[in-house]
Amino acid sequence: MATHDSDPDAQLMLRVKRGDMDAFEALVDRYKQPVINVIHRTLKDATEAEDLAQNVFIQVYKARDRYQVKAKFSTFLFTIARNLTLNEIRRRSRHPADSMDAGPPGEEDQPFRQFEDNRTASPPDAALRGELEVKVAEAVEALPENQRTAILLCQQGDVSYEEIGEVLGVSLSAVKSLIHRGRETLKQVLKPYLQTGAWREDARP
Amino acid sequence: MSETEYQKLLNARLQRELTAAEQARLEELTSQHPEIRDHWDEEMRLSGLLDRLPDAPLSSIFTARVLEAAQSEELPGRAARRPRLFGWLPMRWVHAATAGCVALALAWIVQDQRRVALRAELADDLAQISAVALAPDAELDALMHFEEIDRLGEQPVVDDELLAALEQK
Repeated sequence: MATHDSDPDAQLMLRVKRGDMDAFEALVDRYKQPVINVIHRTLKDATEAEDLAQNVFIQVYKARDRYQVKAKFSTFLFTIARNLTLNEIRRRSRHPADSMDAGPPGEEDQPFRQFEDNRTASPPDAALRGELEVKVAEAVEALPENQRTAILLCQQGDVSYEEIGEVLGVSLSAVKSLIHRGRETLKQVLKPYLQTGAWREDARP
Repeated sequence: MSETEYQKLLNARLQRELTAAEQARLEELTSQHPEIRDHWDEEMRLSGLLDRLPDAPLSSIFTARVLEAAQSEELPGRAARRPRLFGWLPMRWVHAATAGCVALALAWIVQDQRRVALRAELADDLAQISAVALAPDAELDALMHFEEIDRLGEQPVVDDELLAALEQK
């Protein structure tokens, strides 16, 4: 069984366990975007995704005393993120009128958060990219949750199939199957864009 | 079997860059099977599209909010993070039950005070009667007219009509 002592993030988490807030800040900075990306594709609401992502890191912090280097830190983190996301989906299905917009207690009177738009593009390019991005996002969001999560984690680049299996609680062969089926669905839905070459780098600004 | 080998190469490519040996093997396979090249290209185009998915919007103060929440988690101390006895109850139920208990306790205290005061008054009356009854020179006649004697101390009621009739005379 592979040990993960060489995982730099696991080392940071061990420092968090010893009370090092700088290490926790480094982990939050490193993983906040990947975590919120995965959550956002499922919840489809930026504010709720951010609230839930915040909760993910709080749960990581709360669990620091129990943390053991049994797996890569990213596996531990994305497992918490997926569990909280599924809990939120279940909560929504039980209370459809509820929303997380109210935020945590004590924050009701805070102003609405402003999100930065780091994307810059000229209007025609933006329109072209915008249409493509919307289609791809819609196709991804329409996938079953386990296929979508597997594909999004795979796209993170540094999450192996084995780690995806740990996050989803399935075998390696099941992960391959989920990714294969998900990608086949995406290719069907996005066929026009794949054939026209709209994806190409030279179409980017 | 070439397809299995191709799938292995594809799965490897989806997780990382291929090694030189893997790349060479892929070239070999695709030169022998053009349909594999088409499939490979389509997979790479799909990966390109997925790579272009925009990041979800993220507040510039996200990290600060997380750190603040984590530190506030730390402040009450670890004892405060232990599960409370009635932690599973909604807080408004706990508050309502607490208010109900306080109201019941107050009502019981008031009622008990009234009962104590009534008993003290009764005991006082009994003591007075006993003192009179047990006096060595007590006469039975005096006790027989006790109520009339007791009423002598009360102020007589003024009969306004009688006074008016007397004044007219």
